[in-house]
Order: sequence, then structure tokens, then C-alpha cells
Amino acid sequence: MNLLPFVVAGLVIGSVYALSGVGVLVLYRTTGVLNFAHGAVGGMAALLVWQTVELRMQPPVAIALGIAAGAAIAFLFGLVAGPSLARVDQLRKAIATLGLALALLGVMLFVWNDKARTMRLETSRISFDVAGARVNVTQLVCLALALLVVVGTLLALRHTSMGTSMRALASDRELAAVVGTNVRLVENTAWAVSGAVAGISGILLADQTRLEPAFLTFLIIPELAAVVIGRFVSLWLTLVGGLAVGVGQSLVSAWPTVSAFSTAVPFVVATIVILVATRRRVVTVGVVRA
Amino acid sequence: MNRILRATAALGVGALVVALSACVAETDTGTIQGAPSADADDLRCGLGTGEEATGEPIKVAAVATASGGVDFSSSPSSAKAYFDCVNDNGGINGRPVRYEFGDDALDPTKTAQLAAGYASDTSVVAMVGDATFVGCDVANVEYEKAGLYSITGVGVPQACFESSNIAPVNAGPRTSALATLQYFERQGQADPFFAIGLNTRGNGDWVADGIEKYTQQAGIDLVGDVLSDPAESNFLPLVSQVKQAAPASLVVVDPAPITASILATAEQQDAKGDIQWACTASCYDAQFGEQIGYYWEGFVANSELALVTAEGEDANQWRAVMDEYADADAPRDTFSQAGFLAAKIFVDALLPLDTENLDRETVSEAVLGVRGYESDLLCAPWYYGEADEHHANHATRMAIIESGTYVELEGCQDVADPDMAEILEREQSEGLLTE
Repeated sequence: MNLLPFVVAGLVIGSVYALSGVGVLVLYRTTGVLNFAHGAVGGMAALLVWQTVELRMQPPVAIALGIAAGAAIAFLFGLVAGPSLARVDQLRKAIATLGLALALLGVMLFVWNDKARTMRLETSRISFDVAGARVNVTQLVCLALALLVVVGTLLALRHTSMGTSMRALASDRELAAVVGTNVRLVENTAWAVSGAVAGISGILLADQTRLEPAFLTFLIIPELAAVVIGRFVSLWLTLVGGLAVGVGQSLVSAWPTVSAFSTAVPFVVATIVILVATRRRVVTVGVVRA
Repeated sequence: MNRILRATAALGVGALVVALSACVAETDTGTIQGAPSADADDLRCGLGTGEEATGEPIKVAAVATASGGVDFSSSPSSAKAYFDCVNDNGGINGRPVRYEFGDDALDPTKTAQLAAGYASDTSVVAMVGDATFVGCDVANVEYEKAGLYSITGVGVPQACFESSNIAPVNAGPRTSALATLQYFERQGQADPFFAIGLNTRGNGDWVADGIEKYTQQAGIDLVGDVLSDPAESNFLPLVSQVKQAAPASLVVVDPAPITASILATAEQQDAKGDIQWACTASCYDAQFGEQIGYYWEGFVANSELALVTAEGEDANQWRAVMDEYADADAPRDTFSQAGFLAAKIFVDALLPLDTENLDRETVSEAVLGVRGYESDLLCAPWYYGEADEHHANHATRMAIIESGTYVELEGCQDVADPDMAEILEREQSEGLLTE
């Protein structure tokens, strides 16, 4: 069997998982919020793009609007819930975003019926053969964008004042506030950036997979698996994690005997990484405290 | 900070405007393109007196899945529209129908609760236009205990067709899939055949079983019978399997959004080839043709009732009633026709009864006694009858996508199902096909 098409499909989906993962990670490191609503925000952005294109809006404008809507939703949530969330523990922060995810899912199911929708970006219409696998331009965009966002985020964190502030917050929130970092501004920026990334991923995933509210909302699971592989710290490892989950899923689905388990791949990978990482973290914390 | 706030507020308002304008735009889709226009006679529902019924209301209910990811509410919505029309035309000999439906939100526990609620309320004389995706089995338990009967609009899982107190107006996914297979068989394009479905208990497996049995019986080489996970994101393996198996034709028995994704993957891999692609009635709706794009010109679908553009007394009345009494954005699809027809069968069954004596018992007797009910929406007479299974609709039509819209490909054809022998036997022995 020619496995190349599966590797290509896996890399593409994986790169979007990674892209999403970067958005989740930046927000998590800056605000301490693990955003379960990341997929739902992406779904909302994708459906808005679909709707505005149906209303005869130019696709590039519709996409820009979708990404902006993603950023706006996340930013507004951060603005409203951020101050309260800052005072509660991480578990409660995460649960609050689960609430947002379900609320957004409810709105999407209310506004859009369950009829078939497809999102075909113009770039998906241009395709070519690579060693027996058909590749389209959107897929190349996915891969390039994931790489670009990882590198861009790393550079921004290192070389911009906002990046420095984010790193300060990630390292020690209280201390960062004491030395004069504008915590609210940094957090709000992180929410907006993360929302925009969610929007981009949602639109790409809708093109590459399915344009359905519930489906896109729950893609947060493989996206989180990528972040778990990055151990909630490393952008590069998140990229690797996303690609690994994507390719793993795709390859598992290539064989009929095990293909039924392909949706379990993110769980399996994340569980293994958590088990390994937890063991190591206990040791590390012990050493630091000693 | 303030700048960010202002910018985001502006974006938020923009997004809201878009969302709202989307809602407004959908209201334009009320009428069906290509359908004959309605005349005044189409709105003479029931007795057709043109006078509002003012007597004591008759309570009728339905349980449907309207939220939770699947929306089957078009069946009870059209039933309600028809009842409203009847109420404006003299009702059931002067008594209006008071209709309500409960949403089970894709949760069988909720279906059971709703069914138990309606069953215990003895003023509910019958269930009409139901469309639950998950709870026919649990609902039937309640109905059976209470002697309540349902003229269901849309049944999907196996249990909806194998219940004593539930009789669907539609044909169901198994019949729809077999109809597609047999259409290709008549065209000499069914061998070898490939079937794609959903790995769901009591639904996907039931359809797959039908296809396996029929292909075996007809000597058709079934080169693939794949059931995929409802949460599957990557249809490349499936498309590769189709490509390798190289069938003459195939049927997709999935909900329309999943079918659209499978087709998108196939298009991306340019896998259409010489294979005749088709789907069951789940993707027979106006939006589907537009969404899958011109690559799929010639795509075939089954239709369990008349095409939405069809000309005919009931087909015309359905469109007229929807335009007059339903929300402009209520879907005009097969499920809507099914709910309308369920309500019409019910009203026609009640009109000959003594109005003073309408209670659950008399109504149930009348509903059970429906036989040989003819409508241009159906292919063959519909009936209820006392039995442990109800599957009256087993003759369907085929449609094909031309220039992005469905047009009729083949008229009514009876569908053969190896497991339906008993039902066909009963139709004849009990004379269910004639009034």
C-alpha cells in the first residue's frame, strides 16, 4: 500500500493541531488558563466565514472577518472573565472555558441547522501530484503556517516588549506585577492572539476535515494532546506533538484492522506522555525544592 | 488598553451584525425554486370550510430530536403547520387540534421522560409527526403501556420500524440504501458494489446487514462495506479503500455533513473515476447540491417521498401550507413532507369519527385502522395495522444532481429487502393496501 497519501494527510492535519496547540500554549503560559473553548472559537470563526461567503462576501474578506471574530470572542471572554479567573486555581480556570465551549457550541447549533456545509478555500482547488499523493495548496499553507507561527511566536516572545512581558507573567505572575508589568494588557493580548490562532485553525480544519459545530469544538482533544506532548512549555515540542498525533492518526486509519481506533490516538499519545512526564516532574520539583 | 477595547468592541459588533444578517438572509429561502406555484385551493385543509374551529381542543403531541447536533424538527414543524391550516378550516368537525412537541435533545433518557409524560396525560389522544433520532425503543415501551399510538414522521434507527405503537411515514435508511443499490442493479452498474455507513448500533449495522443480505441474494460482489466512526476526521483511508476496490457504484449512508466531507476528500484525491457515487435520502436536500460543487454533477440520491419540486395534490398543499403557516426558514425537505403527511393521515382518520366521543381509545382505534392511505407524496398506499413492526413505506424515487440541484432520475420503484417478507405477507393477507 502506498502510505505517502496518509503521511501527507497526517502531516497536514497534524500541523493544524500544532498551530492550535501554539495558541493554547501561549494563552496557558501567560494567563494560566487551559482553554477548552479553543476548538469552539475556531468552529465559530469557520461558520462565520461560511455564512458570509454564502452572503456573497469576497472570501479573503470573509476569512479576515472570521479570524477577527475568533480574536474578538476570545478577547471578550478574557476581558469579562479574566479578572475573576486570575483568582482561582487552574482546574477552575479550565472548567470555566469548558463553559464557554458549550455556550459557543449551543449558539452554533442554534444559528446553523444540521444540513451539509463545505468550506472550499480557493487554495484547495489547486492541487498537484507528489509521488502518488495528491497535495493541494491549502495543505502546504497549513504546514508553512504552523512552522511560521512557531518561529514567529518564539521571536516575538524573545524580541518584543510584549513578548518579554508574557514571558515574565509565565515565569512568575506576582513578581511580574510587582515590577510594573501591565498584567491585564498582557493577558488580554494573549487572549486575542490565541483567539485569532483558533480562528485560523478552525477555518483550515473546516476546509481539511468537516464543517460541523460539534466536530470542530471537540477537535480541542487532539490539539490538547499536542500541547501535552510539548509538556505545556515547549513550542517546538508542541509542533512535533501535533505532527506526531496527526500522522499517527492517519497511519492507524490506513489499516482496516486498526482503523476503528484512529480517533483514540491522541488519547493514547497524551496518556503516555503524561505518565512519563509526571514521573520526571516529581523528581525535578524535588530537586528544586531541595 | 482602551484602544484594544474599542477595536475589539467594533469587531464584536461587526461579527454580531454578520450573524444577524445571516438570520435575515435565511428567511429568503422560504419558497422552493422550480416548484409549481400554489393556488387558493391548496389551503383548503381538512374540511376546507374556511372557518376557524372553536370547539374543545383535541390534544396531540410529538417527540422529536431538535437539538444536540441533529435537527429533525422539520417533521413536527410541518405537522403543526398542517394542523394550524386544519384549525382555520373547521378543524376536526369543529374541534381544533392543539399540537405540541418536545425536544429530546438526542438523549434517550429525555425521550423516555417526554414519552412517559405524554403517555400519562390521557388528554393526549395520539402522537403525530414524531422524529426522534435516538428513542423509538424507549418511547414505544411507554406508548404500549398507555395504549397510545404514534404516526411518526421520520424514523431512522431500526427500533422505529420494529415497534408495536410506532409507524413511520418515511422509508428509513435501510430501505433508502437498498433502493439505491437496486437502482444501480437495474442500470447494470451495481456489480461490484461498495457501501459506506456509520458505525452506530441499531442504525449503521442494520443498514449494512440489509446490504450484505441483498447482495448475497442477488449475486452482487460486495467489495466493501465500511462503517466509519461518527467522530472520524480523516476520510482518506476510506477513499483509498474505494479507489482500490474499484466498484461500479457505491452508496454513502451517512448524515449529509459527513457525506459532504467524504465527497470533499474524494474530490481532493480526484477519486470519482468511473464509479457511480450515490447517497441515501439523508442527503436529499436543496443545500446539498450547492455545497458539494460542480465536481459532483451527476451525483445520485434516493428520495423517500416525492421530490420537493413535484406536482401533485398533496405535494402542492404541503408547499402552500408551509408558506402560509410555517416559519419562512423552516426546512422544505423530505422530513418536512413526512411530518405534513403524518398530520394529514391523522386528520383524515379522525374526520369520520363522532366528534363528541374523541378520546385516546377511539382515536387509537381509528389510527390502527388506517389502511390503503393514498397520497402523491408516497409511492404506495400507507397503512398502520396491529403488528410488532411497521414499515409501510418501501417504495421510493431516485434523484440526480444537475447544475447543482436535484431533479428526478427515476420514478417510484418498490424496494426489495430480504427481511421484509413477513411485512409484505401481512400486507396481502390483511388487505392493508386497500381501504
